Amino acid sequence: MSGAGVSLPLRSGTQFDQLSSLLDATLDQPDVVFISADASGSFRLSPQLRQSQGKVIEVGIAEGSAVGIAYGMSLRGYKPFVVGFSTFTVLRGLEAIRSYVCYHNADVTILGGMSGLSNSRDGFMHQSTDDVGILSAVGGIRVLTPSDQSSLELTMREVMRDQGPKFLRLYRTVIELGDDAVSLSAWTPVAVRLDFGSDFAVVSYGHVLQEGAAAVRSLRALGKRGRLVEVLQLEPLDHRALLSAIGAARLVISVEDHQIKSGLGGRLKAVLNEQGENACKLVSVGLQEGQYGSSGRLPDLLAGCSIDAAAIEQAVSTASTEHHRKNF
Amino acid sequence: MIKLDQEEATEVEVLVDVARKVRRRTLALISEAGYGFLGPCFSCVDVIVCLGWSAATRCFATESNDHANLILSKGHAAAALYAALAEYDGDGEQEVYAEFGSPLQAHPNSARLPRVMVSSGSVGQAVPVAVGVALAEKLHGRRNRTYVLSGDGELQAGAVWEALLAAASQKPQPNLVVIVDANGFQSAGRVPTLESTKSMVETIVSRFVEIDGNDISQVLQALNDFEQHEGLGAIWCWTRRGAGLKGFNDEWPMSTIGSSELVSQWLRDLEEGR
Repeated sequence: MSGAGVSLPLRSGTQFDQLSSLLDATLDQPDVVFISADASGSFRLSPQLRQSQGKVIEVGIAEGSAVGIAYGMSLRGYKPFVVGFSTFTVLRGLEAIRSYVCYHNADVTILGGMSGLSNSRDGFMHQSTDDVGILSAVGGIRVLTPSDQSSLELTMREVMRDQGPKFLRLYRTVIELGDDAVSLSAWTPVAVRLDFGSDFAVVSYGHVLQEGAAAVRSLRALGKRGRLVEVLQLEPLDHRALLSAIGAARLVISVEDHQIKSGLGGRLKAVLNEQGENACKLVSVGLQEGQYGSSGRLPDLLAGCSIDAAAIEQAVSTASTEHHRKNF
Repeated sequence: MIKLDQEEATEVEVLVDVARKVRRRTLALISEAGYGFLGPCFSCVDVIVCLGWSAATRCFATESNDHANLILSKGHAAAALYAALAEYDGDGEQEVYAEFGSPLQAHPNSARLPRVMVSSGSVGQAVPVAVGVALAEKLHGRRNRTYVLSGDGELQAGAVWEALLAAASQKPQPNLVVIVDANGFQSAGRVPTLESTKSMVETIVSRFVEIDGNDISQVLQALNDFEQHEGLGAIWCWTRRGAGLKGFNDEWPMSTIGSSELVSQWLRDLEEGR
């Protein structure tokens, strides 16, 4: 069949495309190795990296063992990165993550790709919507959740500096927050990325931060002036930095493509409850208990799960109206 | 019949006596604790002693890093490893076993006892770690081998096969030798998968031998042989559960220790080399 008139669908970039040059920077660091669970192609590890002798060790579809192998290499002075799908690496690799990496405080980093609902077309088994909760239940591992280029670059610098267990939640999508977003210049676990006022604060992480940014902008046009707070490190969560970023806002909307209860929503609830009578109102946007993803184009999936900009705008409007009624 | 030269014969004699002392220490640890696994400890004492002491492997050496690595994947044989290390280090008095606060945890914990290289206990999980250690040694350009001692029941765990397939597919392969302590028993009784797993191991590795794992001369010869060859290998050791304990038989439950009279008799036997 002739290709005339038929345009191939454009394949959108992944966060690994953004990460690729950062990983290439490890070419002159002989202690850095990548243990790939049949993922070196999917995650765009560059030809230079893959052809560098011993730099990328492909172990096949063996996420559980990939983590154990990485731990073994760390015992002999290497700084290993496990490369795999977030859901498979966390679920299959959990025992090694818990009993070797976390318990022994090993310098092993898991690059968990296709996190959240970002791998939208592949359906629920490929989607990772409980990884943060599972890892925080284990404890002793930093869960890092970068979004756009600036937060990704700073997070990678932090990863190279840190010598303990780390999990990077990475996405199938390239994340851009827009020209009016604050570009980060130094590593911080929490950052204000858009600041139009303190009527409300949208607190989010990872690729759905884009949905939060779109909602904050739309609401500004309607006269509601809020801010967008990015959480770059979900575990352990820096309560003080988070409260400082929320500032004077009395309404907080948490947004995530993860189970609310074990994700940001549950954590924010605990943090805000600590404020007692001064606690501001919290509305959580994300997956409810027992809710999983499904196949679909990402915008349709996010809309179907009520984790898109429209759902966030609706949450702010509804909560603002309730607040108004209570006070008058 | 294996023919040994004088030097080898002397090493065998020495290690037979070391194995007796290690068995005595192992029994003392377990009986004093009132807890432990005699069967799987005693079946692999000879292999542990050969790995730790033999000139070929010197796994217990501390003065350099050019010796072989020993990773005890069958963590329920921890008492045998602790006893062997104490004998090697010349410790007069041993810590208590499996008591709160003791570095001698029921299964090895390297965070509590750094003399043990890798924690284990969840069967199968230490095999991938051994693959990682062996890969690292290879990348460092070192020629030393990594030996991982596994149980035969342990080979039912999926992590073992993921790890071995990953190791087998590397070019060049890491210098990793899997030693299987095939005593024929697991927690629920006889291991029903022995023949299947043996043939699977044989298929995956580049070099495979089958020996009597309670015959020190055979174990030493196998280790000497594997030290001469690169890549992924396996030594299938047919062993006897509770080897060295008179009257210990196939019906003995896994975590039963025996009456104080019987333990005293065993301790006397081991003291006198009977």
